[in-house]
Amino acid sequence: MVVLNNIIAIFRKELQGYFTSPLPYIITTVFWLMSGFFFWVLLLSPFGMIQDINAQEQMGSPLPPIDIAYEFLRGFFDVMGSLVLFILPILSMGLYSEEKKQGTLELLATSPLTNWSVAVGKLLGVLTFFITMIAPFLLYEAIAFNTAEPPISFPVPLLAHLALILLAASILSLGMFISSLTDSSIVSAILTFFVVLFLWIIDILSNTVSGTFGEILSHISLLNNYNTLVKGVFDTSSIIVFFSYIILGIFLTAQSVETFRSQRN
Amino acid sequence: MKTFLKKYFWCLGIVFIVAGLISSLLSPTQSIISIILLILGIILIIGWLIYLSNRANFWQRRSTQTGTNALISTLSVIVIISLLNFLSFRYVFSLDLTETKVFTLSPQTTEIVKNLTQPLKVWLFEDQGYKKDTSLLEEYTKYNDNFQFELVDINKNIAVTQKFKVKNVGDIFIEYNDKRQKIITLNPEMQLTEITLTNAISKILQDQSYLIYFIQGHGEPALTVSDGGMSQAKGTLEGLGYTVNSLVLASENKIPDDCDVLILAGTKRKLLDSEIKLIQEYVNKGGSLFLLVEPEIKTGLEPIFKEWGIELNLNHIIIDPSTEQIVTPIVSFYGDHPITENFNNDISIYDFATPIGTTSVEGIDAIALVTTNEETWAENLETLTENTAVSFDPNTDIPGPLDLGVVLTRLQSETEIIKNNDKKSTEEKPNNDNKTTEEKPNNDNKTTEEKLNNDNKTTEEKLNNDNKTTEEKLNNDSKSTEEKLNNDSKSTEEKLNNDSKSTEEKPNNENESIEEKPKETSPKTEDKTEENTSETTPETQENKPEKMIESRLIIFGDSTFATDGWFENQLNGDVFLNSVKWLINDQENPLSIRPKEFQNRRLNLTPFESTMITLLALVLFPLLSVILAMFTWWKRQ
Repeated sequence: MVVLNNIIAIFRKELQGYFTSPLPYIITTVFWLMSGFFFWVLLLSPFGMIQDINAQEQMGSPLPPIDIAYEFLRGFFDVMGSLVLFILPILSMGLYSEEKKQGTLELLATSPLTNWSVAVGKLLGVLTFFITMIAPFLLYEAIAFNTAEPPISFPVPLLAHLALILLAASILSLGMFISSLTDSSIVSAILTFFVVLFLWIIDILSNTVSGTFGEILSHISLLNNYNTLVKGVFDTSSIIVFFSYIILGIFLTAQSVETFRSQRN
Repeated sequence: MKTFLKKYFWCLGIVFIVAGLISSLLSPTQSIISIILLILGIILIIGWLIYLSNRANFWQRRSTQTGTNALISTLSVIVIISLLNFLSFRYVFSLDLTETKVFTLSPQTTEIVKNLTQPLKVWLFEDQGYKKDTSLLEEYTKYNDNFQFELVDINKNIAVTQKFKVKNVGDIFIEYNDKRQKIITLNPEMQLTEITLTNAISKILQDQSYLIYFIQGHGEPALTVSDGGMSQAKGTLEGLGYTVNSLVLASENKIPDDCDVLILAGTKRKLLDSEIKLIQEYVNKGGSLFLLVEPEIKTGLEPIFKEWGIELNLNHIIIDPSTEQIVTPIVSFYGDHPITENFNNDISIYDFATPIGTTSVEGIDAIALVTTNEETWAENLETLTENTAVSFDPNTDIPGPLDLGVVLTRLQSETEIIKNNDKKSTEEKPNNDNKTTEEKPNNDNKTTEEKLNNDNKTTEEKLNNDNKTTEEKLNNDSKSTEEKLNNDSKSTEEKLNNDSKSTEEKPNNENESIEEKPKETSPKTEDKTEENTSETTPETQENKPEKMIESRLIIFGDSTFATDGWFENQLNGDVFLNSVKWLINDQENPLSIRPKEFQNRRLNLTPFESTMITLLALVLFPLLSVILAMFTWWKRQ
């Protein structure tokens, strides 16, 4: 119970930090502008899906059954999966490096709070901020999917959102660990970005390499598992991969802070 | 920054090692770059360790101890997580949330895959850099460990590629026991679907293999790749899972009991009486006979023709005035029969064909399979001299439409058959007498067409000799025969090719065989080996005396249409294959797996709703965020 309260306390403090400083809002502005643009381009623009299908139907060409809502959802979340990879390192960069820079990490490290509960609280804080960032999607989707004929069923869109949140949590968790290694936010952001890039390369490799090695790569590839969930398949192994990344990130962060403390003593 | 570099210098070494490993895995040959990278990485890490140990009492320091502790616990956590992931990968639970269950295999598929008792392997032959999509195959593997698949790089794994005789990038083969069968060649239009894969599996699982015998020994088209051979027909049949053998009746002196279809195609000389007798016995036992006769050639099968009510006018050839080459009739009318039910009015092409006439015989059901159009007629070659133009002469010629292919079924009890046999033997004699008189004029009246063929033959033969043993030979051969065909009837042919290219290509792609047997050296040895391999499919009707016996016979007045080059033209291949399939009586009912389709759904956004989303997404939300950023910034100041 105490542990939970501690986590909530850290979580609150962290979240407050995000909502009261201008930088997260600037990132949010960019993210909303870009995601809004992709939403518009993929669905509503003259090159969007609705126009495209309409044009094809008017040409009289026989079309196979197309679920526009589903197709759009996959297309949009595919783009979002790549877009957040660039945004997330900026969100996670200050998690520990700022504390280190300001010298508050000593306080945290020597406080009665366990290292991992601090890490969990911080991760939850930044994740909640990210969820707020993607919340407007729900509003757009609600308006668009409300007009679906026949009406849409909800499990698939919900699973897609869950997948995006899990993907974000995994990368934020790794970013948090990297942030705990350095006292410079910029270095942390760049290193996290390299890790993301590395994960991306794993995804590409998993598509070209065959054999057991390729199989392992495709299993640990975040984007691959993300796509599995987005297409509407609730796969336990994908969920476990995401949680593995999250737990690994939290554990490494706790270890890193532990080493930091022992080095200070 | 400097301490950071000092601390994490070893990371650089690891990066180099990983880069070296990946590049060595990716490149087909051992490249010098990967080795350099590996060595560089190892040097960096060793150098870092040396640097550390040179520092005063490094190993005794507390930070080193906690560092090692952290390292050990980190490693153990990574091992635990890896194990957990391995287990989750092995015992996966997945739930398809899509409405139409697009990503779930059908019950038929899961049933088949679950019941696999022996390893079944799917091989994908691909090029480097090919974007693989193995999600479907992965789905299959979840149901049974006996189902495996492997991706083979054509350029890397040459041994396997040659074992399967892979011809194209994207070929997919299925292997079960020793049987190997090609499923499809992947291309952007042709993806591997559950329907094709499951049907291929169910096909290869069927132990039963139908046996098809081609009678040889009288100048029939060879089954090997040769001029005017039938290697394409043979290959396609084998691709469908049938076993194709040649049979030299005169030396074997019997028709194997396991023979499902007996094919006599384009014989050039008369069969021996003993051979005819064997064929008759075979048919009377409920066998299936496929005859492809050529004009002007006496086969000696007259007793069988008489028995089945077939009337041949071998000295007549079908003239189709609407085609460029009037002796190559183009047919678009087909009988109402399972063999031709999907043909609609698509065309098939024949060359130098003779009309097949029928008279009604009790107990025999005859249906015309292929019928020429009304403008055609059968020209009597006896009346034709070199100087006269070919035209319809009502006195000597037979007016169209003419039947080119006829399918006959006979349902008889055994006693009736015996009775018929006795009758036949007495009738055989007069028939033979007629033959000799008929044969003479036919030889004199050979048309220019044949000369043309002979000319082409010599050049083709040369071409064939050059690359006899290779696989390419098949392609070359078919090409050259096709060229001939094109020369014969250029304009119409080209038109037709364009019209129905797609229908013609399909069956060939799907059913290409890989079990191409090595070139037979002599018919005798070949027969011996083949007899050993074929010991399945007992004739079921044989032992029941009072049961009605059904015999099937298909006769075509042309054999050229099924030879290499012609076979792949238009519907020719389908005419031949469907006929054989029907003769086999192969109850081929592919599993009725419904194709996976999405729910057909549209979004009917009104202009207002569409504008609202645009406004929200592109203006309002970004604006809100900007305002908040400015507000917090102002507050901090």
